[in-house]
Amino acid sequence: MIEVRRALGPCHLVRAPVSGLRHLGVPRGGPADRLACMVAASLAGNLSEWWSLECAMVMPVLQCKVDLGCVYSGPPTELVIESERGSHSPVVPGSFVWPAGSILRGGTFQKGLRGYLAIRGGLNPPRQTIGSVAKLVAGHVLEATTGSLPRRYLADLPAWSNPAGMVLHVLPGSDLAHDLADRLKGPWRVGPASDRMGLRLEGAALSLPLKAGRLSEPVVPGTVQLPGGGSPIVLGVDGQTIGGYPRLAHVVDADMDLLGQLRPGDVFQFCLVSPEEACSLGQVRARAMRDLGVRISESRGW
Amino acid sequence: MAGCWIAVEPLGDMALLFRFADESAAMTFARLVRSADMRQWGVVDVTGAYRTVSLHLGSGRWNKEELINTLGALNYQADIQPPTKHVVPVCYESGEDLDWVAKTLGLTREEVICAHTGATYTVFALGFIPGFAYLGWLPNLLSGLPRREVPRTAVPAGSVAIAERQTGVYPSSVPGGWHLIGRTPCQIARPESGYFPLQSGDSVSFRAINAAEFLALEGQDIQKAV
Repeated sequence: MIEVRRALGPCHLVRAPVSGLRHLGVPRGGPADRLACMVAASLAGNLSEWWSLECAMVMPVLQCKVDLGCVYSGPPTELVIESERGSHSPVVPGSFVWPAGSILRGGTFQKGLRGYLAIRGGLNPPRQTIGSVAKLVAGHVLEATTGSLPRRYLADLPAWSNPAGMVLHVLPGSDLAHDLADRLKGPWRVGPASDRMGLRLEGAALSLPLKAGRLSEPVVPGTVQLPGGGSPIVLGVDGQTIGGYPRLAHVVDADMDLLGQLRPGDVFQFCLVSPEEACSLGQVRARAMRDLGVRISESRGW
Repeated sequence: MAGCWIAVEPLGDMALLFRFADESAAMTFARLVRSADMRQWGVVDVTGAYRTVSLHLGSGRWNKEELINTLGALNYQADIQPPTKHVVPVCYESGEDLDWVAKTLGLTREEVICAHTGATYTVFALGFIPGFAYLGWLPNLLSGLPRREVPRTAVPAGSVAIAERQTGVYPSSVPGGWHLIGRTPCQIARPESGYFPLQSGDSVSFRAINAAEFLALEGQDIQKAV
């Protein structure tokens, strides 16, 4: 059992996206940074369908009732395990044992937004859900299986790079007028009212004549919408399934993890790519995910 | 060919958007593709909204030309399950904006209620939040009200609302910009347990109830029309 003592920042349980529900209005959900979550879950020996904890900006303050085997992956941070016998900081990203009764907390992330905590054996959400995301607040109690993990980490894990200042590759959307393509580039700043549903962007406003009586159409995670005010919104993994605003562009699938790590105040640019370029970015990413998965499974040793 | 699209365009690199001449063709296509189970072609989700349908593709390899050829060969005359008819009981006395709506449209409260219950609506899309059904079209008498300039930060669950040519029911308490003309005591959806009685293409009508009936029906599932 794990009790959420204090949430500090937005905190969710996430698992691999459940498909076949979009037509009911259920968004894709799942981890905003699939790679970081995959690293934590795989090092813990978990399946991607099992729930992991995703926290934004800072780790929540958690207390466990039994010994747990854990893995943290995500933005660099110092984790602290506190008990009556004193406190210590496990080396992360990597695995560690979280002893029964102790408190786990962490510092505020300095760069990047979302970190992942996987518990060996997975977690159970506080209430029933059919989707792949469940919000956590202080007081929630999560069922977890008593366990342990040998000390494991990937020594050659790619270094954490600051998502701020990066380029998000986008494919053109059906409403991207020719004269907007240049101005879509940015730079854009991530606004404060951004979350898993969407990132509100601040920058030089764009304008597009609004057609009256426009019908809602399907949208996807990564869709860059342009509401009347001229400030684009990029839909996140929990973004709505259909929408009526003009669609300027779509972030390529390979860059969705990067989108999930952008925090309010970060500045970035869009770069338009062709479908062929998007395809090769996707292949590079798929290969990297596969290689990392293989290395993790070979390093686990049970 | 009936049910076939008039245009197809990419929706990012993981989905395709199909456009149709009308809502009925789009809904037929969405139902057909969903029932055909296209997972072996990479299709993991099918989302319809009015005259468009998106097919969402999994991360594996898929071939656009092969997929389009397969979709083109589907039998659009095939018997698919007929749409279900639902009746949603509504207590119009609980509609916070009913007086404003009536005044703005130059109608009496009774005329608004009569017009809203007098029509049968089609579910054109589910979305915005899980289980929210976009229903159309409103009779001309009730059409044309723009959305609120400042959306409410929380609309009570079960609220029945109208905006422009559409009406809908909020399955849970969320922010909302439509005008509230009544409230249903029934569960329009229970997303957490996977209960979604309304599906795209279904038809919905509303039945006026009083406060006593509201209390008696509270928490029940919506009824199918007989």
